[in-house]
Amino acid sequence: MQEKTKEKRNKDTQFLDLLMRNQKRIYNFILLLVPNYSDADDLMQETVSVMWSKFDSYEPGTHFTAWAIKIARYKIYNYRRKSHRHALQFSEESMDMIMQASSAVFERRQDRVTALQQCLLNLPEHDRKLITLRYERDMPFKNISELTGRSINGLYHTMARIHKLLLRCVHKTLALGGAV
Amino acid sequence: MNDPKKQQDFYYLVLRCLEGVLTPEEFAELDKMIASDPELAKLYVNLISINSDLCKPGQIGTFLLKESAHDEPFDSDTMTAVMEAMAQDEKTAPAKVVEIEHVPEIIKINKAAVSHSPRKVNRFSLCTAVLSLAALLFLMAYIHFVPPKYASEPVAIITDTIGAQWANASGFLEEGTHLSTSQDSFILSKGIVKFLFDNQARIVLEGPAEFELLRTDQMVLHYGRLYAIVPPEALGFTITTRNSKIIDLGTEFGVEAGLDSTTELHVLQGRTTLISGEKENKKTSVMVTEGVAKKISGADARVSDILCNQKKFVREIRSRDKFIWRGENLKLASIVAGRDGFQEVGSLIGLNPATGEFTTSIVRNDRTSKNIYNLVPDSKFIDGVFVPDGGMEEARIPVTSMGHTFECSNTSGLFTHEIAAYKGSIEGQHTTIPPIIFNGERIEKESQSVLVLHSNMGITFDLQAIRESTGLDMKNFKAWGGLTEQLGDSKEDLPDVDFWILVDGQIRYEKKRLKIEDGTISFDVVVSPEDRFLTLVVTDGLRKEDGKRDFAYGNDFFFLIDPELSLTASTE
Repeated sequence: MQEKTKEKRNKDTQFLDLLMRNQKRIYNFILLLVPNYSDADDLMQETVSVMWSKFDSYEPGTHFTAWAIKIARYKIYNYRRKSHRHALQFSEESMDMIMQASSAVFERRQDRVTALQQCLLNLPEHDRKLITLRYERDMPFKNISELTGRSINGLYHTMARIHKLLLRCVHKTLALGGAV
Repeated sequence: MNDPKKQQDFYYLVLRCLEGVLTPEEFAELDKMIASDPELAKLYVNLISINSDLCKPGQIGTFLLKESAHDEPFDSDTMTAVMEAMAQDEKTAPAKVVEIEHVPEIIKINKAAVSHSPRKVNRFSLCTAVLSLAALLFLMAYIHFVPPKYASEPVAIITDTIGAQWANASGFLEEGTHLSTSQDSFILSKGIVKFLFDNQARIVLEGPAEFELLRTDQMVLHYGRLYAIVPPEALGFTITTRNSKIIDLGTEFGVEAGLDSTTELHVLQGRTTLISGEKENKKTSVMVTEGVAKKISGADARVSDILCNQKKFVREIRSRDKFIWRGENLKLASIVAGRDGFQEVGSLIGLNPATGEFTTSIVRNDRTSKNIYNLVPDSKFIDGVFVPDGGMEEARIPVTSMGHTFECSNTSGLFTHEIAAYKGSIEGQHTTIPPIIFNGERIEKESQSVLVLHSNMGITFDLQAIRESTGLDMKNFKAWGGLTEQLGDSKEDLPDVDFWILVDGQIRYEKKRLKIEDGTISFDVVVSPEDRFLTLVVTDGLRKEDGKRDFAYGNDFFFLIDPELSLTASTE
């Protein structure tokens, strides 16, 4: 009885550990195909639930992310099928283009994260503060807009400019071999 | 894809798409762009990747900027910075995007990973409790709502306590104790504690309560009741409970977190953003403004409207005087009755304007006393009293102990009946003060407090003494009242009065030649932090000159109903 409990606890810990290490990759995959935070969040949660219930079928040592993405892909398929009438969905052509483009991006994922971290610190202070408000503080655009008295559309354009800066910086960093 | 305009539009569409605000037409345009241009498809993947890594709501990992954010508390400069960031874009932004979108008050934002079941897991045994999916999802939700703590660092200091009893490992915490981020939960079993964050946000916490400090602008309330006073420099101060996050937007608010995970938010000043879970594990963000309260269900995190309770939370304490303030107004009638302004007025009591002494004999007794400013040593909030008479030359008379004067009209210099205060009805009290009748109706509600100033009386309240004693500021002075219709049949002595409200000798409100037929008056006088004294003056009117009365001051009973100073937490 005690052994069973111990075994289960080990399994729980293993799952949690794997999930924590790979969750961003899984979420990134979902968000690529369902580019809406709200729906992507729901799908992420559903995916994690299924992963947990099927964790017995996962073979330790095999590619955890690939296994998780297979489940996520199934969830996305169901989501597209169920909500094709009311949700905004990419066409098959776009999905193909996205999947083709994504392989290169996923290849150096850890390098990209490290580069992004450094690039964030290199941003002008006012840009970094806006990123902090939106992403760290979870402050909706509407609230930032109300606080500053600026239009929401203006905020989107500002955020677009900051993203452009970040992307350019990340690409440059990766091209230089990771040194910033 | 070298067209900068096209690229700019693309960024804009992707970002709005992520927020769920794209129209079907815009989405179709985005879809077409990706399907037809491999470069844009690649850009899309890169953009999504960045947004995913920036720890958007829904992710469980840590935020990439946390180290730097730790050193950059969210202050009022942030807003300036945001505006600076936008300024350069607005110079080049196309005209069509300047319009402000209409966004409904409740907008869905993007959070997930919330447990279906209420979060009732004991946090202390959480490590061993992560044995089930429920516990796992709880952990995810918990991480989701509660940002990680940073290294041990004192971020607040206890500034006062009343009857505080602690149950945390650190033991007894007293005034002057620094509260650090690395400590386990602070558990206040009983009493009230006030603490001040480094960013000047003030918290008054009522036990029983358990809380944690995350950093200089964030704390977690596991259960208990607190009141937060957040000055502009601490804008963005955040309080997290088990199922919600409250972000200050320049405000005062109370939060109650129950053991059943129910959270109540009452915003008393300014506004906040409330982020909470709801069914289907979505999150909602709602702006909660002054005078509005919300309840977040512990069972399903559903948000509902409740009445904003202005007196639910302890907002200020002062252990020296055992003073506990929940937002009550200061009753001037209570002060005139020799009490502290918060206690009930009680039965009829008077203050002699010619001597500054309290008395219970309040009957007709015509006396004279000219322009001597009398201190009231038995009251800490009344500076002095006087019988106003400017004489034939309408000279300035002293109205405060610090030499403020007021140009007073010529009066008879006679007075009677004392400066009187009572609660409810005057019926049955030993006095010749008549009952109040306004608009044909007797005004004798049990809850009302009444201040009676017969003509030719003045009283000055010491606002600074009130501030020093309570630690509170005043916002305004208001009341309503008039002359009673009970004396409307008096053929010879129809009452009329002049009434002034002075602050530091300057007129802030005046009503001259007030007569019964004028009905009631009401006023709301703003009081500023620098105002030192508040003076009420009532003098006899002019009907003697009309030839309609024998005594200019006869029957001049001027009633003020519920004269109160509304208080606010001090800005210091």
